[in-house]
Amino acid sequence: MRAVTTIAATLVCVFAFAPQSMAQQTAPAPEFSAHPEVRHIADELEETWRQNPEAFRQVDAIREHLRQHAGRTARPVDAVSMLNNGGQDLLLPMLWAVASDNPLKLRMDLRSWRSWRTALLEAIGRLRDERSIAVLKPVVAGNQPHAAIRKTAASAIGRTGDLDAIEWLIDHAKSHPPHRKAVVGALGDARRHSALDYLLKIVKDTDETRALRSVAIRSAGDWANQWAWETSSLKPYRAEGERGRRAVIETLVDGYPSLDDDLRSEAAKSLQLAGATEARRRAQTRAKNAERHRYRTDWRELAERLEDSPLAR
Amino acid sequence: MNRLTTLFVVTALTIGIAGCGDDSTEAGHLGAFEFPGLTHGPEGGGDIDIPRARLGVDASRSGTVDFDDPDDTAHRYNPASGYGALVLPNLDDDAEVCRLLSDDEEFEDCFDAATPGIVNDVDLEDMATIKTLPTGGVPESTRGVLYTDEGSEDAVELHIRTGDADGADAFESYTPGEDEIGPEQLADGVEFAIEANRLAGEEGWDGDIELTWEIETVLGLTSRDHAHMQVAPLLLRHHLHPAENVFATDLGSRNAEFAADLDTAVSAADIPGGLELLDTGDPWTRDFLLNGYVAIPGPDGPTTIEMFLRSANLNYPGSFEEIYDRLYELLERRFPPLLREAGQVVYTDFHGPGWAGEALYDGDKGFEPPELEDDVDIDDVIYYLYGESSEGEYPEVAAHIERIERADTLDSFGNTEVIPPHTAPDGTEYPHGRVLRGRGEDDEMRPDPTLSEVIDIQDEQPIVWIDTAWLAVAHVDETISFVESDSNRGWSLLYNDPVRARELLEEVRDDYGRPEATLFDDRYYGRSNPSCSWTSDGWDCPDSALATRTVQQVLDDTDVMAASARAAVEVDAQVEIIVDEIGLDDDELFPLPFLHHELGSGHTAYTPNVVNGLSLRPDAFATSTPHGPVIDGVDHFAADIESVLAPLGVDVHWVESWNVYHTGLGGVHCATNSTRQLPETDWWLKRRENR
Repeated sequence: MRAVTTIAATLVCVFAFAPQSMAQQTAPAPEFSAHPEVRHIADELEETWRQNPEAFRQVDAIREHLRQHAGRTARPVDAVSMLNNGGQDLLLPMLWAVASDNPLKLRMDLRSWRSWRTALLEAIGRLRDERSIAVLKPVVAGNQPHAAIRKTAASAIGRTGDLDAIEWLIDHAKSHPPHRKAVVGALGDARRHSALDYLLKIVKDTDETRALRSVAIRSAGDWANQWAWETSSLKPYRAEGERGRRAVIETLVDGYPSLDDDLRSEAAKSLQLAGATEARRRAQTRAKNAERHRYRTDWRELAERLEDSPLAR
Repeated sequence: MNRLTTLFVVTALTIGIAGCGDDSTEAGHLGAFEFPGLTHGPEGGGDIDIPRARLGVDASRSGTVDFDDPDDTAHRYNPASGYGALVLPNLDDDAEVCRLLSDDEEFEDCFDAATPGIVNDVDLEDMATIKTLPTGGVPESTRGVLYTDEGSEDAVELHIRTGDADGADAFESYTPGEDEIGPEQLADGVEFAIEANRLAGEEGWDGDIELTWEIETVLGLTSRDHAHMQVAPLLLRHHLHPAENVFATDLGSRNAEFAADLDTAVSAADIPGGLELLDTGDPWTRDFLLNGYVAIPGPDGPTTIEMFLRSANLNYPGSFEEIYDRLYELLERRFPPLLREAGQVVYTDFHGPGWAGEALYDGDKGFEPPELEDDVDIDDVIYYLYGESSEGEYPEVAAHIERIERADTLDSFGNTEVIPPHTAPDGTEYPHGRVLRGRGEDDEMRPDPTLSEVIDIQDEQPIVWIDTAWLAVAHVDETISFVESDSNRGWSLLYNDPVRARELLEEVRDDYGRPEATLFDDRYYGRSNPSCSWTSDGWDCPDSALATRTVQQVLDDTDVMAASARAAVEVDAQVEIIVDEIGLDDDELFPLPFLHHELGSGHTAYTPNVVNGLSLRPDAFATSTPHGPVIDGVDHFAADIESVLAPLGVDVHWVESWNVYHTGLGGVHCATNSTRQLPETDWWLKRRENR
């Protein structure tokens, strides 16, 4: 019974480790460089440990809050806002937590553990810091069985906008079919053209499963989300965004008649996000020029859907 | 007594009329009767006295059984809508013993109909009456037996009056199909009391009770009569029922500000019972408790039991108890009960005479669990589930746990609302409204089917489904609400409008030239910040824990804007379904502004959720203080909300819900519950009016 022995040993360690959050200011720094995922930032972690131990303590405290409250009320705890409220100062402690947290050491039940991981990854993603990529890749590629954790980690990688990292995500999706849905679902947050190309390829590929195409349509809508592109942080990439939005509109409007009802609903939502007014115009044009009556009807129906969009006001 | 002259005639009539319709009483006052077999019947002719079997039930729903009431007769077998005899699911606790228990299994078996006999005189009032027509003097060997249909045998309890005294003591338990009733009782007529021990839809019971009353004479002649009864439907309460009491959870200093504001709103609205605080430790009072009622006509007006449903939120999949038991042992934490603990209030605080608690759930939420091998190493499974290195892989176990945990939030009752009464565009009338529930598009993201099936079989408040899976908490009350109004329909729909929220911020930035105006002033995401502490003056936190953001920062936040646009589209799809189902016009839809953000597990309100409010009275709506940007001393969001609701004649009562509730992904509706007055018109009369 190897696992039992290991778990028992782990529990012994709990008590050695637990006072960390209380006495961190005086505790020696962990051996950061012993963890391969954070080796590239080991020096920075050590520096932060010395200069701002409070940041580590805050992450520990938020995790403890979540451990106490998650699961008791069938409602997730918003650890994301708490973590993000600490801003960039908490990035390194959060990355350290991703690399080193051990749920059994921390006495976290499964629900709390998964909530905590998801919150950490989402909060890290919002900071869009390329130093996180090396920490996040093992989460995406690892054998942990929870799709939401994998998806949030992939989203966090995508949000950095790093082209190599996005390429890595796409390659990973292609080579790991069980992980594909989670990664494709996250690529909508990777607002670079390579991610969109891959999404639209899946949308158009009728040999792909219906479920994956649905996720890709939704993700393409997220990618092309006009409100996101209007924010200042995406300003440097706005031209790329414009091209992408147009590509999404063209692909989804033109392919609309070939989609089943559920995929059409998803496509209509994505088109609203990409630009309801432009999409409606294209649908009207396609309807006008359509040779086949059925297509004409389908595009008209799409145009009507888009006309009432709250985003077209 | 009916006198027939020949056996031949008896047989012929039997073939013609036995076992159906109400013709036996109309056609010459003959009870339906038959021979068990000609070979066992009397030989030869001659005059034979046949006791007439005749059952009386309150098919007219007048509250009494009257053999001379034509409606009691006419609707005895196949009642028209709004008619037909009813039985109460007698799930209350007239002896008030259940609250003394502490274990879930004991709670679930603690109600009046599960107690042998009639508990007391109050309990007797919860029984429906069945009577038999007095036969007058009959031969000594004559026997009467009352049968129920096979499907109802375990679902109803019968009691027979054996004495003349008033009250419960005059009754004894009666086993249908077995206990024989002798000539003395038959002569004067027999009175039964009947109760159901479950709701329709529970344990596969359809709620229909077929009664057969059989009198057998010495000659082997059998006279039978039949009647149909139906268990009273469970009706869930809606916003148009005036509130009697408002409930929230007492969290001490953590929600003191919230409780004080809510108390002010409740007092201002003259809610008769005021605000009561529960001691459950669970902030989400809406989620673990759902209020409905069951009612049948009684001699002195309706007999009603207020039903309080316990949510089907699971702490773990029931079939994996072994795994979780071991896991909690390893964590050195207390092993929790299967169901959310706060829900026990349905057996304690909300239980007693006329108040019943019920838990409708499946330990695996209706999903088929994978079977664990006998020799599986549980510790290895636990390692695998945590994503730690393990010797084996158990993806089916992980998938089962994940789908149950993911769908669990859908079983909180913030995800079970009632659309107030309406007539659908196809002309179908819903005098008690329709239930509104949320789910995802895939089959695995849906609530435990147990409650849905119970609601379906009541056939009174059919479910309208909308997609809520994109929300982290995934409840219908996060984006949709209903308020009483002076519209033709008498109520209006409130919905979340992120587009309006963004417009308000743009107005502040562009029209007022105040991009630096701030949201969330003096608010903290600080409950867990180790530097924060609660003092008599409120939260004491360092500035680093302040949640304050400028208008420009919010408008520039890619994640908030992306999530809010997505929310606008998703809410629009929800509203479209409701509009199509109900036929609401645009002027019955009222948009309330708040923005969203994404938590990895789904969306939630970024600015406080103002749709998630509590309709206290036709003119009073309590909702979260929005903490929008303040222009000239006025909260720009609050002013907009007040201007939206003013034409409806609704005043807004602002309740401070940032701490605990907003930061915990909820609002005032999530945090509160209410008991409500019974409708003035009995439900069955509404049904009749709408026939």
